Amino acid sequence: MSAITAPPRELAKEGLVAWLVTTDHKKIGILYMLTSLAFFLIAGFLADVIRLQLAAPQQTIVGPHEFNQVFTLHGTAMIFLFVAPFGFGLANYLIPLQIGAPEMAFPRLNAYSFWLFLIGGLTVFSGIVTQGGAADAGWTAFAPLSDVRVSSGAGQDLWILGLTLTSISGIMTAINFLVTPIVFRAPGMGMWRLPIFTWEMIATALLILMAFPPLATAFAMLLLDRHAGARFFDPGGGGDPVLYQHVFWFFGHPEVYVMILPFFGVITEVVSVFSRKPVFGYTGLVLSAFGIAGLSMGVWAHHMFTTGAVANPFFSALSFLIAVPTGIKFFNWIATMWRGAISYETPMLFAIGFMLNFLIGGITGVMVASPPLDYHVEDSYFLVAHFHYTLGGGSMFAIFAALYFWFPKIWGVKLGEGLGRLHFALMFVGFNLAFFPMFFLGIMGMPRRVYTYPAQAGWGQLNLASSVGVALITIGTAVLVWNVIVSMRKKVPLPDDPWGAANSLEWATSSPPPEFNFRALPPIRSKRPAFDLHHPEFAKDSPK
Amino acid sequence: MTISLRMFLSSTTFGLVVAAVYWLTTRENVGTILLGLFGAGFAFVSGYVRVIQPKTRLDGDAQRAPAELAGETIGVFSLESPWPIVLACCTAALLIGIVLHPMLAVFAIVALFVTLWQLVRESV
Repeated sequence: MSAITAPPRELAKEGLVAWLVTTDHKKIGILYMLTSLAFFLIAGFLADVIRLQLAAPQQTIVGPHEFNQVFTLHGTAMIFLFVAPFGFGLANYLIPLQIGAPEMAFPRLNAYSFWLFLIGGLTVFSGIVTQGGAADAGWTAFAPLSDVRVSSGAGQDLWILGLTLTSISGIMTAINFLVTPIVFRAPGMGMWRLPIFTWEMIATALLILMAFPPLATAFAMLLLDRHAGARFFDPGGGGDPVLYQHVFWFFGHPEVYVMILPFFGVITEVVSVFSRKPVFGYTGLVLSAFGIAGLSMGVWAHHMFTTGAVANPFFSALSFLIAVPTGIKFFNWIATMWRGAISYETPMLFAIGFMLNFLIGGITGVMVASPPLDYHVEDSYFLVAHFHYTLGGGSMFAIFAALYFWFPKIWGVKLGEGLGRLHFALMFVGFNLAFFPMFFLGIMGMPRRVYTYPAQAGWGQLNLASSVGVALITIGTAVLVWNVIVSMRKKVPLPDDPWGAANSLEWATSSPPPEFNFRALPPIRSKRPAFDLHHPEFAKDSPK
Repeated sequence: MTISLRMFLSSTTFGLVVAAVYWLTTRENVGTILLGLFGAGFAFVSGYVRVIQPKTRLDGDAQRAPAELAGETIGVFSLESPWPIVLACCTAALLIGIVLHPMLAVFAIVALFVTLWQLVRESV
């Protein structure tokens, strides 16, 4: 074993200042994850408000204007400030470790990205204290809902500006995610030995680089309409609101995969480690990530079927096609588990929960990719259920799998298994109780984004069940917080690989890793160098 | 051809082919331009990678061992810098200022240039 060394440097300061000025990828990764989890708690609180309001007919806990602000901020925080940024945090922490590098390619750019993201998020929420309140045009801010005649307050401006900052942050981050694994791999770490998580982040970075600039463009046009008298989206001035939808969804659909591809990587890592087997179909998993990324760039207008202004067959066909590479991933996960010595620890439970939930989200996605069905359920609670199954039951469950799986590596502490199982049970039952009834509500005709409904509609019982489900999710989240507090108090030294069968290179260094990540790098002669290091007797069987 | 270059060239081809198919089937301008830019963007990246790749040191050659690079300096990494957070504040102030308060934008531009200069100074 030999060391790759980096030049000696001045040691970082301690305390708060050290975190403010850090360019260490591990600290930036932690900052990203903690910030995104803080936004998750805020967005979760807003979800509680929504479900309290809708638990029974004709409630008056919040009025219509406040309700619009609440669901706008809930969606914005979950999508832009929680799910995707948590993936960025994880990638920041893991990519250099997984490829045997001491740092990200551009450490200062990395720090800049994080602070821009944090300031952007705070800017979005700062609208709450302005006259007229926060933005209330939904997370999509469709014109004319977001134009100055309908949303005249500064809250909408701050929302647009805040998200523009986070999109610039995303582009900067993507540059790091792309360049680092291409040019900073350790000797022996060929591209076809990269862990699947890193591959998924490469595909994600490509998506961000192509999809985020159109978002900034859409927002710039919106601001010009609002403040400079432009009429891009105003039919009265020769503009077209459908143009906004085109540009927004050209970002918006790839964004869905920015929020899911990193977590496909997480699930692949977790399933392999807890099945005590190498990943099945490595090449298929890599190619399917790029297949999904590529196809996702060509399906934006399936969100616009009902505008009557797009070529429905084209977008429908491409949307159906995405099921193929996604199916390959499912097949490979199941094949990895097949005849494995499966150990049902908390990360694996969340991974299995992810697969079950995401399957429902995926299948209903295929349903709404069919224009006739989409016309029927467009803007109903069916859609709310569908995208919560993909991003809540999918990405969020994968985030918890990642949290339990890499927590020992990041903090040197294993989260409690008993509380972890309780957390999983509450989340799984709560999630399905919250969102499965919404499929029926949608089919029964309940439109999304309504702040109340009449008792005669007959939606009361299903809405009550849904609200009870969200309460269980809230209790589950409290259990997670308690688990973190309790576990951090019982710190015991952990080995490099506390799970006993981990594959990728981050498990070949101490928990937590030292500055510059590795005191010594092991030889990299297969796709699972850490496993080879800890189990040399089986190294000959590792896929090369 | 390296795998990374192949990846970018495949993305270029995909973007341009889908743009062409989309135009032929729909005759719709906005989507065609967006897809065309998607292909063109990756064409630019492919060209850049083609030029820059021979200059990279840590190429992750599957046949080499970490021991071969033992003791070699692989780059200079700053552990800390106060300028990224300052730059982020300046960027935010500039954007918010342009829309909500022009004087804020003026101050932000000045601060932005000072910060960038400090960043460059720190890097060399």
